[in-house]
Amino acid sequence: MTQQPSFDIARVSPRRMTQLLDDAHWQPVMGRGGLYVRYRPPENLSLANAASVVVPLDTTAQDYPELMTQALTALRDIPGDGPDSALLSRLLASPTDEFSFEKETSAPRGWIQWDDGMSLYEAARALLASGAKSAREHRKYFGNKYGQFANRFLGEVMMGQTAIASYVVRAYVPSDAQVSVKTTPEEDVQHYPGVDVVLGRTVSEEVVQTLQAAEDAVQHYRSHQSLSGFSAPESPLSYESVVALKQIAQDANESAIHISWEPSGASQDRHAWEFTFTPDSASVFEKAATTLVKPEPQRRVTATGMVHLLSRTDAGAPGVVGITTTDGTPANKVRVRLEPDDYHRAITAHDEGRAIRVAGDLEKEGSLSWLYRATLADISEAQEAAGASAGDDDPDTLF
Amino acid sequence: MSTSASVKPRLYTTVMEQLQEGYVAAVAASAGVVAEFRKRDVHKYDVELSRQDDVSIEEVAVRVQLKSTTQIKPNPGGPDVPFRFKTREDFGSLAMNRTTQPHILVVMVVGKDQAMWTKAGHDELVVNHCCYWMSLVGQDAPASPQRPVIHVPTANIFDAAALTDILDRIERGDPL
Repeated sequence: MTQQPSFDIARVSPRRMTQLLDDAHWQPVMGRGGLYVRYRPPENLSLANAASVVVPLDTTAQDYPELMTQALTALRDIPGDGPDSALLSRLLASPTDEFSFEKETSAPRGWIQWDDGMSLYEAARALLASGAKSAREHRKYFGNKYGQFANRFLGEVMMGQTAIASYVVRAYVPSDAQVSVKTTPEEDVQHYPGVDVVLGRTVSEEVVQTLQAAEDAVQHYRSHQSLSGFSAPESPLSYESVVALKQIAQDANESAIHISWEPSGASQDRHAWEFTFTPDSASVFEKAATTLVKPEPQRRVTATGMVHLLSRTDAGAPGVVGITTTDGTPANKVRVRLEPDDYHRAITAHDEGRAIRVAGDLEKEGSLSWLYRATLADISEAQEAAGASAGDDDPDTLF
Repeated sequence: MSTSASVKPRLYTTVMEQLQEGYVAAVAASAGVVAEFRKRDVHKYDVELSRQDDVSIEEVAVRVQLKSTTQIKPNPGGPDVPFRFKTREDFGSLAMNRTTQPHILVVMVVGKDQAMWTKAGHDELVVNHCCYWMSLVGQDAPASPQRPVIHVPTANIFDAAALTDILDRIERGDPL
């Protein structure tokens, strides 16, 4: 006899199963009084041979584990390669917040010009990244700030199947994902959301607030010809999010962003939003972006010290150098991204035990100080500067 | 005309099961009940029989484990017929006290001559021979043998009236 399938039914809630089936347009029939509900597959040729699914509702019933296992097995056995066959995978995965980015263009339905499609992917990614940055701090312009954090967040996001007969980019944000604010997160320690980690759901909330604010700001502009909705201090909108929205809205007959949250953690509520942007929104976003791009004044600084870190993924590519500064300015340790030639010189200095001096624009990323657009000064000068700095405090060098 | 002697054993078992499925589907249809067949290897039952007289009222359902055998002589005359399970697991699954969807056993007595399994005419289709049903809920499997034997009442002929009565009892919460 075939071995019974093994599922971790503790990861599945009846409520979530019914909601996924509802979303997939399965038809609930009456079921029986708080004990179970039966779902029949949608009228779809590919599901003609699919059996109904009985979802047990009473988790305290003696036969609940057996019934839930059978329900999961029924989902596993759904034929075909359509979205329904992925229901089990979605159910067993952690709850996710779904973002659907839809763009209707002049191309035939279900198609999109290649460049427009690529642009939509990039814009969706940029919008989610801006949401991650907003979860850290509300700013009108981020630039490189929180860039690594945004990348860590995007590393948790899954891309889903596009819809049949439509061109839709789907992103799934794990609601319970914990994204560290530190570049090298500590493992095997307790993490505290809002302190050293940011939850995926928190970022999703920021994106929703951004979209709500964008809708309101566009409407305000249409009514009053004023961009104040974008620049208001309390607005979560940033240059980055506005540019992403412009990219989504432009060159389209209509653009829509659908958001749906599954119940997560203690919350059993399900939420859904839809935001629609017409082509004229793009010009509003463009105007707003020019008012928001006010980069922080760049602090051009120099750092002198010994190389303690060398990191490069490919030979001949730019690399990252870590410097322990001799005088603690602009920080005790800084990281610098150097072009290949300068990176090679830093390697040489490290091998020879010599200090280096670098000049760049200082930006803080969490606890790290980075120098961007950096160049490596002459090493001998740096050695003299390091020696002079040390000699001021070292009585042994006076003679 | 082929006989059971010319059929490979593995196929013979398969078509016996197919015969019983047809029997049960026909009985269910007569009772106004929907039959959904499953893979028992993973579901612990073979068919789910559900009745919903109207979309506005709750459904009632029973899950059935099907067994067929040529070891019992058709038209047995006694009050019950013995049936031996192949595994204790099958017995245990039927004996489990389920609060959500009860399980019953339906045993089909099948003649060894395959050609005589069905007979069709202008007036009727006859399927030979008979299915008996039984609920094992609450029964304990004896310590031995490893393949438990039960005694299925011959009064429990599985037909449309019996199926209707079974579902009515489940609906009322009465024991089977």
